[in-house]
Parts: sequence; structure tokens; C-alpha cells
Amino acid sequence: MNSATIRQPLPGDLAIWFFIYAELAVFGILFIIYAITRQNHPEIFAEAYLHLNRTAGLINTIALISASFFVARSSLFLQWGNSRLTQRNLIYGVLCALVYLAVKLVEYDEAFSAGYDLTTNIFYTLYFSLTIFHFAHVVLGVVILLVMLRNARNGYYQNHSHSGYESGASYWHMVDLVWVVLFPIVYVIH
Amino acid sequence: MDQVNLSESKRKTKLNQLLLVWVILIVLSLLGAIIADFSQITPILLITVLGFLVIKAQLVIDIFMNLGPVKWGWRLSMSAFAVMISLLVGLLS
Repeated sequence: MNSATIRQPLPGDLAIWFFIYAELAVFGILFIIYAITRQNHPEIFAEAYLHLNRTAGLINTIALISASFFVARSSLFLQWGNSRLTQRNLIYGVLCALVYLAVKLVEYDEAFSAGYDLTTNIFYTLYFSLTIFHFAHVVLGVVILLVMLRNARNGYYQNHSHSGYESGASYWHMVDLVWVVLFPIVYVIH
Repeated sequence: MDQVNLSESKRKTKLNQLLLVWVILIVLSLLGAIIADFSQITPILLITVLGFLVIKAQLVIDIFMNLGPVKWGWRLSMSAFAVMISLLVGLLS
């Protein structure tokens, strides 16, 4: 059997994967509700779409994809025993995540200033519910990345299993995966 | 521990693979943003956007999440999330 066909174990703890699947199920239900509601109220969604900040959506997509890229690189460097590059890539990942949070806050500020909120209409109820729920996951993800960074700085992973690190990284990639699905559904299709 | 002993060239290959995936994800996102500026999303454009979605999700799952070399059941159930959502959104649009 060559190396290409050898099955590797799941990265991280098994528990984090059950958590990830549960989270994806919740987001999946929200996406389906969004799609069904759009089909039932096309005129409301078409009108609201004109006021969406699509540039912010694109910047956030690039920020989250980049954050995931740096976190994936940091995982490799951790496996290869390079603590300095592990930490550096993790910092880049956190910075990209902070860009996402800042842009999203600006986007919310614009929307609220223009008089749009959760109660404006069914589009904004779903838009804010979906994106604020995701925003909360990004905030939690940043906290997890910072804990991973602190542990890496303290040399924790040199003496312990990398399972905790891989679990944190997997959670972060789930946050990215959800945005990869959310971006076209909310910001592109109209 | 196998990972620690990887040769320098294999490490470079892995890092280049990550970089390539990052570039593909950015390019597909930019193409999606261009499509978003079209006044109307035709069925062809809709299929294109949803195709991009599935490709991007699969790249995140296989390369960033590193589920590519893991038992197929885990990878398949994760991929099903993006495929099912895309199919439902496509049917409902």
C-alpha cells in the first residue's frame, strides 16, 4: 500500500467533529430557510439586495479564506516542529480574522444607520440572524486561535499531543467553510 | 512523527499545495463577485455560482481541513453539506 492510499486519523478530537457537524446542521437549516423565504418573497429580497454591501462581502470572503490558509500553514509547521513559523502564521490568521470582524462591524453600522434592523422585513430578519450567528462563531474562533497562540508560545505543544491544536484549527476551518457557502447564497445570487 | 521526518521537497510541495488552493479560492470568489454585479442571474450563471460554491467547499474540506486523506465517510458527510445546500438553493431559486 503506497502512502497515497493510507488513511490518516481524523485531525483533532472526535468530540470537536460532532460539534462541527452539529453546527453545520444548524447553519444548513438557516440556509434552507433563507432560500425558501427568498422563493416566497422575491420582491422583498430583490429590493434589499440592492442595499447590500457586496464589496464588504468580498473583502470578508478574502479575509476568511486567508485566515484559514494561514491556520492550515501553522498546523503544518507545528507538525514539522517549527514553533516560530507556527506562531507567525497563527498571528497572520488572527489578523485576517480581525479584518473580517472590523469590516462586518462597519457593514452592520451602515445598515443600522440606514434604518435597517432585524424587524425591517423578512430579508433583514434572516440576513442579520444568519450573519450575526456566523459573526459570533468568528469571535469564538479568534478566542480559540489566541489560546492556541498562547500555548504555542509557552511551548505547550512540544510536550503534549497536537490534538487540541488540530481541534481548534478544524473549528476555524468550519467557520471558513460556512462563509464559503454563505457568501454566494446571500451576496451573489439575486 | 512521519510529518517531522518529511523531506524538504515534500514540505515545499505541501506548502505550495496550500498556496495554490488559496489562489484558486480567491479567484473563484472574485469571479463570484463579478457575477453578483450582473443585473440578472440566469440559470447558467446560477449553476456556475453554485458550482464554484461546491468546488470551494471541497477544497476547504480536503486541503485546509485535511480530510482528504481521512476515512471517506467523514469527508463524504462533510461534502454532502455543501452539495445538498447547493442543490436546494438551486432548486429554490
